Amino acid sequence: MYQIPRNALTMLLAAQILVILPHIGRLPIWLTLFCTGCIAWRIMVYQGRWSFPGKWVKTCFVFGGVLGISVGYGTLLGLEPWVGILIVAYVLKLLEMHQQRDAYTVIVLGYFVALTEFLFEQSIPYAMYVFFCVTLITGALLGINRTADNVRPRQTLQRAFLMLLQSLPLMLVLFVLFPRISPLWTVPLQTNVAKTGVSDSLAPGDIAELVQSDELAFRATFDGEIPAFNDLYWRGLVLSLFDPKDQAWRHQTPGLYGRPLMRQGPPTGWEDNLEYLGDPIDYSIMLEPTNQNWMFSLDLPEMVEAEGVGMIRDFRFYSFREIRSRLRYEVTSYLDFRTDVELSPLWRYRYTLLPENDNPRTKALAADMRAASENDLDYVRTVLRMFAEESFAYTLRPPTLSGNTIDQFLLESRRGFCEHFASSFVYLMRAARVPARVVVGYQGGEFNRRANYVAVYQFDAHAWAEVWIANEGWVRVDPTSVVAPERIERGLESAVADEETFLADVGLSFMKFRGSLWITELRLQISALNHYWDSWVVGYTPTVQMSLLNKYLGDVDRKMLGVILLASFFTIFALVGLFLFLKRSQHRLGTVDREYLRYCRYLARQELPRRIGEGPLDYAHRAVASRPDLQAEIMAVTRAYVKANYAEDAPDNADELRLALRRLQVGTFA
Amino acid sequence: MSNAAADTGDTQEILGDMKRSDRFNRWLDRRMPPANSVTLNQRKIFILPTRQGIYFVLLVCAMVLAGINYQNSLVFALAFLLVSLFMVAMLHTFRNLSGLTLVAGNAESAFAGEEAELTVVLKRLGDRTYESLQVGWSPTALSVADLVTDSEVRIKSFVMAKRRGRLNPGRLLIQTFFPLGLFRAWSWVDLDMVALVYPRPIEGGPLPSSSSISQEEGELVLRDGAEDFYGLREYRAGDPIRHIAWRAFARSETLLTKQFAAYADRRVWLEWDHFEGLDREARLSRLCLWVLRLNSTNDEYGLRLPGIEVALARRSASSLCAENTRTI
Repeated sequence: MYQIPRNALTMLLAAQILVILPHIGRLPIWLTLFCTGCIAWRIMVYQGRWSFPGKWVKTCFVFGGVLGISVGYGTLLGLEPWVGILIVAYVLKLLEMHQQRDAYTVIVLGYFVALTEFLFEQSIPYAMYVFFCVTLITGALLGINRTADNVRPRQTLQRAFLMLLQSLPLMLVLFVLFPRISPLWTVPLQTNVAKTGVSDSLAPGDIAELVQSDELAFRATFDGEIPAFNDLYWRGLVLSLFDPKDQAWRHQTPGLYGRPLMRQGPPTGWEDNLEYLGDPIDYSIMLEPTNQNWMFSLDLPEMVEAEGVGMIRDFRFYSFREIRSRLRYEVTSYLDFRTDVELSPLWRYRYTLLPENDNPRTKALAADMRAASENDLDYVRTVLRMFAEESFAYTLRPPTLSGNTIDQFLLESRRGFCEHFASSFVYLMRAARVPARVVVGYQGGEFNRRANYVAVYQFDAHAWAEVWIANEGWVRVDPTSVVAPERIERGLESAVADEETFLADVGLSFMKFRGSLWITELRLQISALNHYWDSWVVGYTPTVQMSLLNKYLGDVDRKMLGVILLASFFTIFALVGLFLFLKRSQHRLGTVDREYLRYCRYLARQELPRRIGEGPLDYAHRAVASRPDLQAEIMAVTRAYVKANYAEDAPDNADELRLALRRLQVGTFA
Repeated sequence: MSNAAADTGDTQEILGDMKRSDRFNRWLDRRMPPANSVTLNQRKIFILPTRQGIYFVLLVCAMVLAGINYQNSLVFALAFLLVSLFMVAMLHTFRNLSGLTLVAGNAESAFAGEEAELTVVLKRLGDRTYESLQVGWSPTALSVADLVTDSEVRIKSFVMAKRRGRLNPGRLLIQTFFPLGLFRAWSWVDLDMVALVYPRPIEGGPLPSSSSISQEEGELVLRDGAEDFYGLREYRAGDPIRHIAWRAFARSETLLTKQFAAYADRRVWLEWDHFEGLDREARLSRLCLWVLRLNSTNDEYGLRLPGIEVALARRSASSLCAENTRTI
């Protein structure tokens, strides 16, 4: 019966607990209790109080575990159920450790469970945590290979850590050069993840609610200079259908026969509708997972480099699959542009459509204002002037409206957030037969000059409008800019500074301390660090690898890459080997011992070799017996050696010994 | 009489459960000839992954597959870290034998059918430490040793001595799985050790009456453990204090030691021809038993073997048996 050394078992159990810990939130509660139970049982077994469970009990556990998983998740297929089954196997194996190879199985399973954490989280803290768990598991692996009295936990852990450090160079070579290929088959992904960010329906109060979060939406890294703050309109969704029931704007993808027309860039046939003016801006966006399909870009994007992404007819990007993991895409945009100079009647109809028997006062107001204006453009200016001059207020705490909300907002409350302004503006436009649509996305962001990127958070969410003017095409109009220009110039916090409602619902947020210089500095540094981590480590996709390799190694095909990989691998391996073996076994004997060895060698040459394990006095007597003529010299050497080595107060002085040896050597010749 | 002169001595090769082919043995002999002291270096050490090592590699492959299918870069990172750990473990396991010195120690004699005790000394010269070394001649009976704090460790192994003669235990296996159990590094070391194996003593019945010469008076023989006072002699350093003649000292001021003697009971000749009809080994075994028996008494005995006559005297059994085995 195999007895695992105590320290190894402790490390094993500690590693097991730590590795399972981050999964607890995702596992059914009974599984957490089950794990605790198994671990406690094993400890009892170790202490000799309980015995290992019998075959029947174990079988029951296995079946029970699998059953529990399928009941808890509703299915056995899926990422979470598989992780659950893996953990069940992991803890159950603890109760079946009869041989040393069972201990190995538990340890190796531990590595795998540690790995699964990365399928859920990839930030720097989690990476460090998993590395720590891996060190513990490696320490346990080391512990079962040492003799029982050698296993000191701290020293074992240190050694495990050192071995992992020595593995880092090779790991880096593989990480950078190992060819990253596309998935071979589809695998189940996380389920039950909430959608985040702007959604495809806009009702009054939606954005005001969304901006109460300080979560990161995406980061945009610019190749050149970052555009001005008030030019950063991140266009994500275009809502063109007004639903009178909840007074919300809904999404309706424009496309023939209800299907969107998708291309990577504007497809053939659309060129007439697009005109790019001015200079292009190149940037790349790293979008946090939203579990939705919208992608954000600056007006007007020309080209996107990403997989599974297409451009919709209203010139924004759409991902075929929901964005479940961080997505990185490169865009080229032109801030100066003209679109849809000609608008077909069908589309004109769609973009002026309003429901009947809805918001009558607004429609009347629109008719009045349009009549007083010369043309559409003048009408736009009139409406904006109304927003600016009448006592409209931009607030994060607008009163709740019901029924004909546009009427109430425009004529009664006049206090609202950007969605109120954008929504009512578009309504007024449509009521006067001016084609208009609501655009939802983000505006502005936090500049991080260190790494030349803009970080856009959920509190930068924004809604604005687009109006179609003859000969001009679609023109962006942001009513918020006339009511609360600080919002567009500097962001939400300064716009609602008087109210002090910025992130009021969020408890502690570093964003609130933007006044404090060092906290902001710290936060920007950490943000930049996370940015590099997300870009180069987590975001090291096949495309990134290819572009990196092309940049430094020129055009490499797969075969060349393989050769380079192998060559680098073995070079680094040889270097590590050299490092490990560099401390060659030197004869680090003290001077006294060295001199004595010289004496032994000398006598060996005189046909008097020292026997193995023979003490200095025995040796001396035996030598004297054979060579009585050298008795004085031999005894002098021996006495000097014994004195130097064993006498308490003798200094580590080899001089006397050396002298005696010389006399011996001379004496032989004499 | 069998052809005794032809053999210079029986040697036995113990292969145990380790079936090494002859070709491999010859290659080993060329590469690592027998020597009393062997220092392991890359020419002498073999290294291969263990079964756990293979499973580990398979696990890492599974991880890489997971990384590919989930397009998860950190999964790749962990998988690559473990691959690198595997390679680094190989270096560590190899280093756990490289530079180690094995030195032949004592090879105690034994009787045929017993186990001979052989001592091997493991030494380290320098800073490098060695852990969890498994050493032995039989793979089922390996001793485990560490050379961490000590620079020298003596390992006693027991090897079954099947036949009389010289026992060459063969190549010693030294192996280690340290540090992670993913690799096995080992070497076969021939330390040129030989142990003497005496014949197995067998009860052969009483001696023929012609052997003992009991009718004469036995000689008086000096013996330290005897009881009868014999005489005095000058004191020599090392004589037991209680044998000093104090009264004589009081009288003459010179230290004298008492001497004791006993009468030899009889003289016995152990002869080869006593055991007619038995083969060589059988005769030797019975003679051996008699030697052992006579050794514990006060008798004088001598041994007559084909080609040797060992004169009547009192002597230790081991030296007698040594001469015995050397010449037959």
